[in-house]
Amino acid sequence: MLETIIFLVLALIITGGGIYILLSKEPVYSVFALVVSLLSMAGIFALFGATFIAALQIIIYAGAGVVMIVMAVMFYKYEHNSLTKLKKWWLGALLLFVLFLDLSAILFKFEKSALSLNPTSTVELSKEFFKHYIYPFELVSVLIIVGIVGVLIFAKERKNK
Amino acid sequence: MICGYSVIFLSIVLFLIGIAIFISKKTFIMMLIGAEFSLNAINLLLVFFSKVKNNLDGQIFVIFSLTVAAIEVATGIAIAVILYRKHKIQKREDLKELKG
Amino acid sequence: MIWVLIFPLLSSFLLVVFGKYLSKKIVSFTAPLSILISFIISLFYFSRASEGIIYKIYNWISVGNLKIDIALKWDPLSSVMVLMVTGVSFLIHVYATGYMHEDKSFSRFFAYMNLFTFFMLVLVLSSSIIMMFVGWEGVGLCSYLLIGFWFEKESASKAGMKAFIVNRIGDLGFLIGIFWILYTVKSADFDLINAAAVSGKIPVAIASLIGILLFIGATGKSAQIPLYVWLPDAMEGPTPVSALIHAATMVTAGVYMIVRLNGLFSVAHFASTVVAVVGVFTAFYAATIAITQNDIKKVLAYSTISQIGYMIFAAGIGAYSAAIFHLITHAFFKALLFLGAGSVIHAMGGIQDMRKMGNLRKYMPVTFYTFLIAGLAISGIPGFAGFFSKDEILASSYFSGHKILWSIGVLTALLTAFYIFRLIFMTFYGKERMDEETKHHLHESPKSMTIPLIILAFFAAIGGYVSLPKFISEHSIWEEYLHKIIYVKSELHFIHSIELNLTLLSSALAFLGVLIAWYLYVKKPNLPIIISNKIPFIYKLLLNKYYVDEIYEFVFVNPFVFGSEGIYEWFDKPVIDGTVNGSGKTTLFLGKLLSKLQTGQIRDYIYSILFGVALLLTLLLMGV
Repeated sequence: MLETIIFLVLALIITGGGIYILLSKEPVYSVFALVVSLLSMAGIFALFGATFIAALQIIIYAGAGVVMIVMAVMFYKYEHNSLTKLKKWWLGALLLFVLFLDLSAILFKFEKSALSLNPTSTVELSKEFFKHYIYPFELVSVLIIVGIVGVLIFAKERKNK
Repeated sequence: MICGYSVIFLSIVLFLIGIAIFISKKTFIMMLIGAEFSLNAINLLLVFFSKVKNNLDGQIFVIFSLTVAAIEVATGIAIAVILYRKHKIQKREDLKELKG
Repeated sequence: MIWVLIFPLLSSFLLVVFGKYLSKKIVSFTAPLSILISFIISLFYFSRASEGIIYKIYNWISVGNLKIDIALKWDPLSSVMVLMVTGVSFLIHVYATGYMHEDKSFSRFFAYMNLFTFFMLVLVLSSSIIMMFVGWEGVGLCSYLLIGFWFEKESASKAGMKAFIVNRIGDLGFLIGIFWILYTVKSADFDLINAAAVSGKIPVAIASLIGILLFIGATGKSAQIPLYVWLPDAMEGPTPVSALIHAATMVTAGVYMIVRLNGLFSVAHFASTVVAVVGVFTAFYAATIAITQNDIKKVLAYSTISQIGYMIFAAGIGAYSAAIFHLITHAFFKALLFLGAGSVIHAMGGIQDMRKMGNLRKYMPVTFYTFLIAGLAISGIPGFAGFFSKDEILASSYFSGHKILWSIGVLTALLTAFYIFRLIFMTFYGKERMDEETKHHLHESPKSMTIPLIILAFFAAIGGYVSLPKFISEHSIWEEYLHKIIYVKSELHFIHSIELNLTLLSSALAFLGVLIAWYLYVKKPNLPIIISNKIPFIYKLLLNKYYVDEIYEFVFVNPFVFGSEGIYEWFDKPVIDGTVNGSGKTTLFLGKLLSKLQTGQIRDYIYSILFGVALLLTLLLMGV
């Protein structure tokens, strides 16, 4: 019972954060709402017993990722009149609504499943990870290097221009 | 006991909120935040099924997804910043090079 | 075992990335070294090959019942091929360090060559047909890159393109064959495919169809009728490339593939017959063209097509070990011929026309003698490598009852001896027909080029003794070594007295060919011109390669050109002239209408994606 309550509270916080981002006009606040949502998501992961993922979520997402976004937001000089009224918003809303109906219909095709909340051992996880996913792991590291180099090249001031 | 439906439902809602943010915001960085939000919803789903099926693959994919998302944020922001610095573009309406 | 693959790849990678910063000395050291290491490793593992080991590296694809591993197969067949590939490749690399010395893209050349060797090793070492296809396409890519290596020359880049496109046609057949195999056998593993075919799990009709589809791929890669047209043009590439890719290794991949799937092909009688007939006709046909060509490399190119025809023929009649035997001996002497030709071209300062050569024997003795050995080997003079392998093929065809095909094969042997000695006599004997300036520059090639020639000449001379004719010895080391990989053993009975006579006949024909060449090109050098004037029709037909390029142009290329021009003339023009808002304008209008979709607005794209997803999901849920 307790975990259901915790779950519902966290779910409400995340959804609320999302809706706040959607409606807010202030980028810095939106980013904070994002942080709150991501941290709550980490809470849900921890609640499910995926403690390692929860830790990663806090470190990578809520930590590194959001710091980058905050930095970028601060770099920007925002023009506040940029938030003019959206054209064709009803079209987007309609599409999203249809999608929502579809996905909810799919939801009830699942069997009702019980969730085991006992924690996943990180040792098991890493064993599995390095046994079967060692090549993808290496590939992802290559991807990271490509990303770093790409960003550096992007960000470099070109003197000759 | 947490009801399985509620978790999937939460995931659907978060995913759609993310898309809504993505299409309604006008600056690139806010669009990026929307995309992150949607990604997170998918991560929730992966972790959930990994726990239900008692299979670690789901969680491992979340690790990959987190990493790739981090790279994506970095590159996306770099592009946004460079667009702003070079061409003073920060809204997507201004990006018209792709017009046919 | 995997290290065999890693070194060439590593070296290629290094050369691509750091090639600009490395001096020529380092490049010409690392590139051959990596191949040499592979060669030594494979020598080291050679003793284990007879057991047939599979080195599993990684579980690549696992979908339902279908499992495809990245695995290396080390058995008699692949071990022989790997030794040949790495050995010949090493010698050619060494040779190329001398030949390409003046070229400005030195490291790029070796990067491609190493990459090629890597893919070739993947091709021969793979244990599944899917992985073989990876190597198959990889060598095709490298071949394209290397043919068009001097891409500043328009003909070179066009030749590269031609090779690539013609190979695509073959690969389509090959790919369909692979899919069909996956569908019927539910596995890509060679052992399982062969076992399934032999045990009758694949119906004979389907096995024949698969065999023909796979053989279409082989005709593309191994330059057989009708897809051989790319190989002569491929001679635009640097000569070491012609020697490595278009003589010794890549073009024999088709033969290797057929032998690898010998279980399937020996069940599929119809496909085998097609293979044998196409092979022997290609051998004859290409030999007739080779007689009239004046470009030294073109002669060798057609000779390669002809010799591969022999191998394909052998594979078609079920003489698999003979096919591989000829493949290996051919690799030695044809690589040697090409390298010798390269040495000549090097000395002549790039001139390839044999009519401008002559009496080069005086200036470049090493090249001459090694070339002579190769010539003796290819024409089947007793004692040299080609004699043993060619005779084994011809004897097998005779005793398996293919008498007509056998007679064409014997005739081709005569032609072979003739054209190769025509080449030798025109190049190394007779009057010196080059101009003074070229003559002044004539010189023997540097050591890095002559030493590989000598080593190859050694193998071209003695390589045949691993498999003696049956009338000398009933036990052939070669056949016993390859025995394990052949699924349906042939029950051929070689009657010794007849075999001896056959051998005598073909040797006599070889000598006859040499004699005719000597008579026409040394004794009476004016005679060939007289003859060609007497029968201008046949001569022109042969000189222009039976006009096949023109026919292909007419049949396949022109219809598209004509067709589109016709539509323009007879449909577009009247319509536009006749009506004010003609079809052209309508098209323009539609185009403009469609280009409105390309708004450049990200949101519109997202909307369309969402719309698509929503539509699809709704339809799915409604159970449409």
